[in-house]
Amino acid sequence: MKTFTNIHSHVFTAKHSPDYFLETAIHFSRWPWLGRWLARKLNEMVQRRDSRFLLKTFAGIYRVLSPSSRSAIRRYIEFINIGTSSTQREIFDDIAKTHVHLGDYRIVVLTQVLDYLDLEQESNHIRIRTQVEQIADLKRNMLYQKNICPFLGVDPRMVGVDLVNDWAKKYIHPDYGFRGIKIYPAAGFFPFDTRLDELWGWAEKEQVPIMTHCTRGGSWYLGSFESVFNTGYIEMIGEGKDPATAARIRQRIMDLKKDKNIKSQNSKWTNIFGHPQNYRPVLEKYPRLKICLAHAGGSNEILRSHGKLLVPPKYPSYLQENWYDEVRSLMKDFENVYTDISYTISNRKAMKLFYDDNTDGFAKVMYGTDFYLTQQEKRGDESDLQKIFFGLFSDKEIERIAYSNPDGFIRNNIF
Amino acid sequence: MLGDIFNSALLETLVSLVLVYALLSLVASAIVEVVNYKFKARGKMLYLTISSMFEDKLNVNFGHLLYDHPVIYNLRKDRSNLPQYIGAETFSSAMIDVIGNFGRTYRYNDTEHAIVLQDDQRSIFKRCRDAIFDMKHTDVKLMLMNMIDKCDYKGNNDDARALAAFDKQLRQWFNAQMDRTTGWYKSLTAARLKWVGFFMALALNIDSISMFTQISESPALRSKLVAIAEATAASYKAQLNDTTLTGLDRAYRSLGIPTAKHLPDTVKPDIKEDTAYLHYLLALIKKLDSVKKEVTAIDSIHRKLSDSANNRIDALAASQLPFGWRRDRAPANFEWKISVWPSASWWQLLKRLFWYLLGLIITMYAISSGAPFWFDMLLKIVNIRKSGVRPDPKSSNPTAE
Repeated sequence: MKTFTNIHSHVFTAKHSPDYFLETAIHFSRWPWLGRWLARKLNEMVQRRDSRFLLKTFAGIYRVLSPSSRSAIRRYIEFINIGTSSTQREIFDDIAKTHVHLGDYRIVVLTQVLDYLDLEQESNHIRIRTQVEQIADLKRNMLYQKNICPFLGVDPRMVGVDLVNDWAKKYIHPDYGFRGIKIYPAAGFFPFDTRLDELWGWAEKEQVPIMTHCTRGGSWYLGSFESVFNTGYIEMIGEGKDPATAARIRQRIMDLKKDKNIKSQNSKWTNIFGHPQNYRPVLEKYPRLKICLAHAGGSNEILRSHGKLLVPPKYPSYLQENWYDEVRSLMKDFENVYTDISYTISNRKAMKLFYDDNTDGFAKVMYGTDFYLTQQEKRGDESDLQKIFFGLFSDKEIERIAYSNPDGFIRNNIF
Repeated sequence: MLGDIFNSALLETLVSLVLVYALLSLVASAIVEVVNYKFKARGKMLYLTISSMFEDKLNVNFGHLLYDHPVIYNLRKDRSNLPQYIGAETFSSAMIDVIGNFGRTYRYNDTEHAIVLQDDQRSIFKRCRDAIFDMKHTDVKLMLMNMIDKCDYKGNNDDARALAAFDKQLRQWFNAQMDRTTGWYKSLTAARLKWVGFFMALALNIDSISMFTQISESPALRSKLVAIAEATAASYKAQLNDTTLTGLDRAYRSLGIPTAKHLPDTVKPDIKEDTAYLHYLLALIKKLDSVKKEVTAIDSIHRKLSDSANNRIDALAASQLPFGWRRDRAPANFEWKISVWPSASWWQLLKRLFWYLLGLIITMYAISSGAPFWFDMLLKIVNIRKSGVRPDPKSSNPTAE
């Protein structure tokens, strides 16, 4: 029997993210201390019932005063409601109930390492090991076992753990039920980091799927530029295999280090980590590595690629390359490079262009939504996204994107 | 000489001020109680305490996992809420489950196509021991290992006894940590009291310095206030015998306002726990409000004083205390229209503003000290005054004959 698969979702709560997490949304380049203070305060507020009540009350009053912002406020309130749930199970229940009508379904839940979003700030949140154990517990539960397909969060900066033997081999195992790996380079590391070398070798050998965030948006490393770039020489996996790409990457890093204007704009300079080109040297060394460059580079990059972005963003020249184009190029060059339409699907215009660009019948494209982060977007509800998906693609395409492609992606040699 | 001190205008003024602070801080305390109860601040603190007990940044945090345990999970009111109270026994029992579960073994079963719990011959204590032993080495692991080794020793090869000892150890540890939570909760309450004090001082325009001056200059006002203070202190003293009451409960009852424990049975079924505090607050506000209507009826209020403690606040406000927003009162009566700067008038205005703001700040801090503090103070200061020699009416009033 075929199983409908949502390849990309999140169920971590506000308690799993660091106390300073909202700096992603609140940042003042002139007064970073103010952004930092406000972000912590807001984070504290949304996690407290009294403050949530006040926030919602103010939002409610604002909704009355400003009818045009009603739906935006409703979406943000819904986002806060989901994010501030007590447990990951409650959030999984939320997404699961939107899939029941699809028959046999499977939801890929991506655990995420959020512990190193700033190497200089302390935080009191639920760390990755506990987050993973909570999901492992959910996977054991017969109520969820069939429908949840967890991926294991990995970060090369994790301390006190052997990434292959203590971590990946332990959880990506039939007894624990984790199926793949999730990385988030924008959190402050390169996918070609040599600390990941052994893991990529093992993943290629066992055909373990890797899901990676590949858009300029989302969240990013929040600490200072110096805290991640005072590292001297950066070693690179696969440098010898593809010296030309490696040289381009090195040049980009060097240009960034020289650019004094960008160092206070984390949302921009952290693009250096998630740039799709960073996967090329890794893939040259491990050409059969099964990896999904999620979000297809992002809706803005799709629109930019077609010259349809109304206000083109101002990136420095060394960060100008189009991510969408690079993702497509990697998919063409390497047999196991996939992409998904998660989050990007909320932008109907970009999705239409993405659809028109197709030349191979969506051979390596997968359906995903990025629940519940899409909740902030107009038409970002899970049911809205399903409507967009079913409305845009033909039955045959749906079968590929939501059934057979994910099936092939998830299947590994372990189980 | 001693009698002069005990009956001096200064002591009477102090008694009057303490009375005012006691009543205002009671209103503030009631507001803070309503806010704390309504918004469940304690739950978050409890969560932080329990999670910090097991936090080492490396191993699984059993404190966080505890909140997924069905017993603890079901203590919540709704999905975004946290349990407000967890007893030591509930904690230790659920924690043993959490640690023990972490030591369980699961295997994927090909025939069932499911991850299945393996039959385990080990005792619960042994499973807990193994789970802790399998942790990465950190301070938390070492502490838990020491704890479990001691229990093993006490058990003397009997796992049931060792488990009972472990249960006891967890409870003791939890209780010790709860003292921290209580401390945090008190700090939060103190901070909130300060805010409420600040807004009350501003909203009611209560300038302590000006209040002190006016009370000390008005013997009539002093005598009224001292009479109320003595009656309130006597009523408060009577509550001291009931050791089941908290300081705040005593303060409520000394004014004749029922506490949660002492609500009439006829009212109890209609008042849910979370509205009880609101009930007190409304009762207090009603009392303060009713006073306005009786400003002119001072004599009748005086008569009522001896009848019931309920009317004390009414009487207090009817005494025309120097606070509230009025044109003849600071800061409205300041000379604001000054065109020449710098000038003597400017400095005069600045000086008056300085003393006025200082008066507000003193009020804020006074209110934030909390009702129990001021009621205790009231009782002490009234006792001191009473311990003095009563003035001879003849000598104080030579024309009486």
